[in-house]
Amino acid sequence: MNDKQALLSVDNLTVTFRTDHGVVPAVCEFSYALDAGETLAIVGESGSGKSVGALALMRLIHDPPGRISEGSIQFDGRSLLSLPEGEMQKIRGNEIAMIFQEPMTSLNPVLTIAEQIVEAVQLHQNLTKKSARARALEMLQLVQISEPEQRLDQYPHELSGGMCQRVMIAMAMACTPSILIADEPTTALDVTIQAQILDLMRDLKARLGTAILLITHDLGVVAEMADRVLVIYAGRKVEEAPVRELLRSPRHPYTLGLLGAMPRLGDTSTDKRLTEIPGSVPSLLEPITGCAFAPRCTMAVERCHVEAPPLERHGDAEHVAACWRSDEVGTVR
Amino acid sequence: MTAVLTVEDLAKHFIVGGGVVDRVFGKKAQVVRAVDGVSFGIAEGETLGLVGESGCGKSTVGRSILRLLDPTRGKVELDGQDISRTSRRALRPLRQYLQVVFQDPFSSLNPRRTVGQSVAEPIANYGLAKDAALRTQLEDLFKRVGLRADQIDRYPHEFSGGQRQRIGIARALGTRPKLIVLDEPVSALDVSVQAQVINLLVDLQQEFGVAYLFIAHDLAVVEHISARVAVMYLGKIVEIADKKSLFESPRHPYTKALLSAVPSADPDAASQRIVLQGDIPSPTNPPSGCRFRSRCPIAQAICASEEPPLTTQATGHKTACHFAQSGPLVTSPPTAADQIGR
Repeated sequence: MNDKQALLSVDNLTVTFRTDHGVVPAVCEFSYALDAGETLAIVGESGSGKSVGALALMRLIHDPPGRISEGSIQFDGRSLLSLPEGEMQKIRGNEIAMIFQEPMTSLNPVLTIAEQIVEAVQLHQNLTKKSARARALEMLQLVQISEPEQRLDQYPHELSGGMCQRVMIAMAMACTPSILIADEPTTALDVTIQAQILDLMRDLKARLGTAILLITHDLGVVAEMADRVLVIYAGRKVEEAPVRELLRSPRHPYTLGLLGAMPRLGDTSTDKRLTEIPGSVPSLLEPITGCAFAPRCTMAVERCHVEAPPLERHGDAEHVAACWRSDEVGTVR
Repeated sequence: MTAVLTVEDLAKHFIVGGGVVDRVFGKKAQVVRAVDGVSFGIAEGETLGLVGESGCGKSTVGRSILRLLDPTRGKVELDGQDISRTSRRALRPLRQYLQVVFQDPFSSLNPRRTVGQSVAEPIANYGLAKDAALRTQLEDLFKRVGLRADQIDRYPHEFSGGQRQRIGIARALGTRPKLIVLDEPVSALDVSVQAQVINLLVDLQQEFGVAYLFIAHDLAVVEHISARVAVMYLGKIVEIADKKSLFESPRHPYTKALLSAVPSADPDAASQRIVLQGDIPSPTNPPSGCRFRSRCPIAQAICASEEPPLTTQATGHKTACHFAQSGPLVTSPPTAADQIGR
């Protein structure tokens, strides 16, 4: 994509899960790159494989039943998939950190906030308990939690959801990682709290230069946060583009459908219907021939059901889409 | 239009703690004022959206109307009949006209019964149809909500989330209700499926003339489906107005902040975000005066001492704020005399 080496490049990643009903390819030939200091959003519906893709990055897929059956992940000159587990542990939480959707359940309920942050810091940095605690306090101040000294000795149940997510972010940023994976970081939060957390993430990114891999289903959050967007459907990348370009002129009917299906604030016309995407996400148990989206696509032609469309470039921007009729998508909106 | 539902000064308080263990340790029972005096009406065939953040009491309002909870105070009238105090027995025939669709389509259907049995039960219960007529009605209902008649004898686990929500809607429609309480009916669904269900709800309302109380936290969804919208904060309605009036010229600072906090998918949208500080206070110990004052960017001394009443503009737009005004939120730095303890 760029001439310079990307911070992270994922190539042809395929992750399968063995189930009682057969092998499910949750992520299929998935490729992308993330530059230092950039925010890349991965957008998809439930079951699209967006979280599995992120977990694979951290090598957190349980094997069995899961398996990274193909592909490579290059991070900062190292191949993550061939590193010994000990080496991987040095990267996990240190150079690549992750925050999750459910801040309330992601923290250990029987440890205080300080204990949890100190543990993360001491695993990766040669600090005494005292200075690790000082670091924890510093982090809590950085994430603008109210009364940080007091919070250190509190337990997760004493904090609200928004505060727990701040603690999660503090813990993730404590070792100043170069990549922060944020898996639906604000989905469980109220909209006013979501605004606070998004503000905080933007502020931290600007100050510390962390690259963010943002996994979400909310195109509104994407528009606010991302530099580039990647749309995933049934485990496959269907479109990737700079955020403006993707929201302004999508080249894949699924992306167009998602944009039309979303009610927009400020649109008070009563009689306007939302665009429906008929049907639902396909079962990955059945082998998919042709384009995975074809059965739900209003533009599908015969070819779409037989032959899978490759990812093709559009225009001079870094815009790729996998659709046989992508030139006709979004001409009218 | 006549009102199908009138709610007056509805309140629901819960008592927490005060059990044996608490008493041993000298802890007193606390009162959670989940809903603390709300009033509104819903006209026949109208949709009222009820929005607010988690814990603001919006679901408790829905449940109190349905008498799944007994209100602590206040009046709920369905078609002019007070149902807030009536006995369970007297309530039973009225329940036919008052139905509900819940948020989680996975837990609101009995997994051991076919979906047909679940949808048929309320119809049979009120003796509206039986045997062959019931079957015909089921087939008709299934078709109306976009399912096939041959799916009637299947079990819930054979359906996706969106399909289950359609089944929940079919069950609610079976008794020809006048009002359906929809408690976050689409928030568990993916965007593409959410649009299907919203469109279905709009179509069914036109067809059956049923009124909706649409409870949700997603402002864009509420704006899309409602005719009027009420905004709740900590057990109170802070603003209620026609959709257009509320979304285009909100008057309460909380509504303004809430609207500004919604991320827009339009990359060119000018975002004038008002980021509220802090979290929602606990309803066991709400702030004095105006409940929003602890987070309000324009709060003054009077807000701590006097609770602002819900006052009506000429347009029917009601706001509970001492400094309600339309237009952008102007935060003038409070003078020393105005400083309030936060």
